[in-house]
Amino acid sequence: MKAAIIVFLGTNCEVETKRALEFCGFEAEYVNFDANNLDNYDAVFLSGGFSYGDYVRSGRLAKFTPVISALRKYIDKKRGVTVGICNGFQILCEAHILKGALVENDCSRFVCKNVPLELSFNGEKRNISLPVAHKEGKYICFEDVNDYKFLKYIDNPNGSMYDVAGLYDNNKRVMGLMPHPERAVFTKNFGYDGKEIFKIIREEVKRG
Amino acid sequence: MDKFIEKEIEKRLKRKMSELERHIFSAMWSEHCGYLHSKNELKKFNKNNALFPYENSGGVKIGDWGIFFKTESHNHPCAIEPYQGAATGIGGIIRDILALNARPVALLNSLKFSFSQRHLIEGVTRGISDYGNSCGIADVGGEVIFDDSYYGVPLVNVMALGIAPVKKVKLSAAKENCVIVLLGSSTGLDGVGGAAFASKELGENRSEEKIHVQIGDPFVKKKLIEATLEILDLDDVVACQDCGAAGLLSSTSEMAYKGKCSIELELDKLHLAKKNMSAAQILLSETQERMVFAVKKESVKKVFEIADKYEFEVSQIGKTYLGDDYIVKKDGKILSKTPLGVICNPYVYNLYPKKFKERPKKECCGEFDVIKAVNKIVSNPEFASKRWFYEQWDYAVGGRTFVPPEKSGAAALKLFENDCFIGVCMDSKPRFCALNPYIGAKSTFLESYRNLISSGFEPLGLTNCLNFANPKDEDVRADFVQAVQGLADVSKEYNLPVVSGNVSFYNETSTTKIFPTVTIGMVGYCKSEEELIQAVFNKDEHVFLIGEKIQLNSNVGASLYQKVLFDFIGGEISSTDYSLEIKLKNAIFEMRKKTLLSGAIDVSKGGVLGTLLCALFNSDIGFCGNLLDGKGYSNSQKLKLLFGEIEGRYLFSTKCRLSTQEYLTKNNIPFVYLGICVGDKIEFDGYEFCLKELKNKYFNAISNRFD
Repeated sequence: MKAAIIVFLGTNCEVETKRALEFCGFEAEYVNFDANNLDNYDAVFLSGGFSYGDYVRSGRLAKFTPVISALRKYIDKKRGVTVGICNGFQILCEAHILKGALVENDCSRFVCKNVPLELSFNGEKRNISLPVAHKEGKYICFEDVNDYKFLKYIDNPNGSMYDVAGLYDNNKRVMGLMPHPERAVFTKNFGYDGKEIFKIIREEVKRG
Repeated sequence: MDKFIEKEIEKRLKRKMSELERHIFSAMWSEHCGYLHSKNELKKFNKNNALFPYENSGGVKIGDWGIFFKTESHNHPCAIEPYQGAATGIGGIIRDILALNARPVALLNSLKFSFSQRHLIEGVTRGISDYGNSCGIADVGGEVIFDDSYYGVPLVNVMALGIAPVKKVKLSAAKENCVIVLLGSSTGLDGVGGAAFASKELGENRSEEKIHVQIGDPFVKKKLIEATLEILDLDDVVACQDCGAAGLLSSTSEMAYKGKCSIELELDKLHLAKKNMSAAQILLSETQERMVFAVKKESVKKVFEIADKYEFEVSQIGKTYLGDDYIVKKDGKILSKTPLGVICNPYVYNLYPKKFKERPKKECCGEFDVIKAVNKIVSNPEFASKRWFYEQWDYAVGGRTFVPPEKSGAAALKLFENDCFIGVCMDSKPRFCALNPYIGAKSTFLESYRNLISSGFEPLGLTNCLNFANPKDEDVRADFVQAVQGLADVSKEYNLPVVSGNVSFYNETSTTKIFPTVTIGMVGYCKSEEELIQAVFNKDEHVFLIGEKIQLNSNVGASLYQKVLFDFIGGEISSTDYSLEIKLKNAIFEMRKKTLLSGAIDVSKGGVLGTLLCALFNSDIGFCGNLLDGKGYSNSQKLKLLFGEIEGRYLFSTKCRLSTQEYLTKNNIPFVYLGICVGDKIEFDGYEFCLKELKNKYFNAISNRFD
C-alpha cells in the first residue's frame, strides 16, 4: 500500500508520519507541494505543522498550491483515501474538501497533551487515547455533522462543536483529524492507539 | 564607550578610531560578544572529551553521531518585550546548533520570574509556544522558578540540542579565496545595537529600549533550517556562521579571524529591508533568520539554487583573501580597514575579587504545623506542577520524545539513527548559589547529574548559562569567580566536559539585583527503552531512600520549605560526597539491570516528602509508611527532616522488598525503607492526607492563578 506525505513549506510532522506509516505497513514517500499528480498513491497524507506559517489563518495558504489541485482530481476520481492530520485537517477544511472550519481553541492557548477519545468504525465504538497539539483545533460547522464523525472528544480540550476530533467527507474517502496518531505508535507514554487509526485507514483503502 | 576601553583599542590600533570603527568596537568589545569579564574565568572549565568546544556550539559523541547543545540567555529582551524576546531567544540558539550542520531536535527552557509579573510569564510562555512549536522542534523540558529577585529582570535561558554525523559537521573558520554568501531575511533596522544593549543595566524608560529587541518569524526559521542543512551538505561550503548578536559584523569577522584570512564586505550587495541604511546599521542589524556561508567560487550557483527552492533571498556580499583585515566597502569606497586581531580579541579583565561576601549563617528555626505546611508547599507555584507551561509547548513534535515532561528527571529522546536514547535536562538552584556560589554551582551540577541518573542515563557532558548582575560590582565578581570555580572543580571531579556556555551579566536595575544564577544543561546516554527509568511509583511497590540520611544537625540552608513557610533564605549548605554519588549511581544502574528497581527520582526540591509526593502524583497512588524514625520531634525539627534539602539522595520503588534490602545491605549502600504505595491516602507517622485533594492543588496551583 503506497502512501504520499505532502510536504508544504512549514510542514513539520512529515518525518514521524513517515516513520509511523512504515511501521504500520505502508510504503511511504514525501511529495512536494508543487507536485501535480497523485495517482500513484493509494493514500495521501497531509501531515501536521504550520504550512506557510499559518499566515492569514491555519491552513489558509496551502490550499493555493499545485498539489491541492492535484488532490482535488485525486478525490474526484475516487483514486484512494486522503487523510489530513492536524494542520492537514485545517487545510482540508480551508479547501472545502471537508465541511466546517477549525478556529482558535476556547482557552486561546496551544494545547499539547494526550486526550481520551471515542473512535467509531463500522458501527462499533471504542475508547482510545491520542496526543493533541494545536492552538486552532476548535471545530465549528453550521450543519449537523454527527453522521460524518469518526473520532469524538470525551473530554473536549478546545471547545469543538459536536465534540468533533475527526471527520469523514460524504463519500468516506477523505478523513481529517486533529489528534496525532503518528505520535502514538512507538512508546507506552503516548500509547499505541495511533495504530488503530492507521489500521482503519488501511481498511478504508482496501474497501476502495 | 568606556574611556579605558577606548584608549586600549586606540593603543592596539596605533591610531584613532573612525566613526564606523567606533560602532564596530562598541559591539565586538561588548560584554555580550566579547566576554570581557568572563573569558579568563571560563578557561577553568574541563573540556576533555568535548566535541568542538570552541565552535558555535560544542557537543559530545554517541557512536558516529555528534550531539550538540548550548544555552543562551535572552533576559534583557524579555524584560522589555517578553513575547518577541523569548521567541528570538529560541531562534538564536537554534541557529548556533544549525551552523554546525546539526539538525536541532529539542529545546529546553529555564525560566525565572517574580510570580507577580503575570504579563511577563504569559508573554514569555506564549513566545516560546508560538515560535518553538511552529519551527517543529520539540520543547521537551526545563524548569520554572519564582522569586522576587527576578522582579526587575526575568531570566529566560533556553537550550537547544541538535544531532549530526560527526563526519558531516561544518566549522566556522573560513579559508582564503572564498565567496561570502548571506542567506535569509532582508537586513533591516531591528535589533540594531542589541549586543551593546544586553551589556548594560536596564533603565527605567523601557519603551525606549524596544528598538533593540529583534523580531522573529518561525516559518522563515523552519525554512532556514531546511535550506541551511541542504547547503551545508555541499562539500564546497567551507564555513558557516549564524547572525546572532552584532549580526553580520560578528559572524563575518569571527569567520575570517578563525580562518586567518582577510574578509572584504561590500555592503551595497546585501538584500535590505529598508533603503538608505548606514554602514553601521547594516553591520550591526540583528535581523533574525540569517546565515552566512563561506563558499568556494565554483559552488555559489548551487547555494543560490537551494535558496531559490526554499524561496529565500540570498546575496553574494564579499570575499576572503590572504591577509588579516576586516574591510568594509560601500559605494565602491573602502570605509574601514581594521585588523581582525584587534576586533576579535577584546580586552579581557582579570577579576581578582578582593573579598568574598560574608553570608548570614543563621539557621531557619520557625514553627509551622506539618499538615498546613504540606498543603502550603504542594500549592506553592515553584513546587507545583508546571503543566500549565509545558502543555503550551509541543513536547512531542518530531516523534523522538519518549517520556513527556515531569514524568522523569530528564527528557528522553530517541536517536533513531543510532538506535539509542539521549537524555537531557536543565536545572538551576539560585537560592543555593545566593548562599554560597561555590557549593551552589556544584550542587546545581549534581542536580542535573542525578536527574539523568534517576532517568536511566549515563551523563556525557554539560553546557551552562551563568546569569549575574553588574560585573563592575565587587560582590558580583566574587560570586561569579566562585561559581565558575565550583563548576570547574565539579566537572573535573566527575570528568564531564563543559562543551559550551553563555554568560549574561548586568541582570539588574537600579533597585533590583538577581540572585547569582547558574543554569546547567546536561546530556546523557541510554542504550534502550527498557533501561529508561521514570519518576513514577506504582501500586503495591515499596519505596526506599538511598544515600545520605538527613539528621537534625544537617545543613539545610536554601531549602524551599524555608522560603515558602517562613520567607527565609539563609543558613548553611553542605558540599557533596563524590564517592557516595558514584556508589549511588552504580547501585541504581545495577538494580535496574537486575529488574529490582521500577521507578526512581532524585531527592531535591521539597526534600524527602516533597519528592515522594511528586512521584506519587505522577502515578495517582497513595502511600503508607514512615518518613521519620518515630522520636518525639518538634514541628520545626519535623519540617527539617521531611522537607530539608541535602545532597546525595534518591528515592526508588521496587516490587521485591526483600531482595532489594538484601542487595543494598550486601553492597553497603546506606538506605531507609519508607513504606508501600497503596490506597488513596498519603499516610506517614500519624499524618493522613487525601491524595486527590493534594494532587489537585499540585496540578492546578498555577492554572488557578492564570486561567
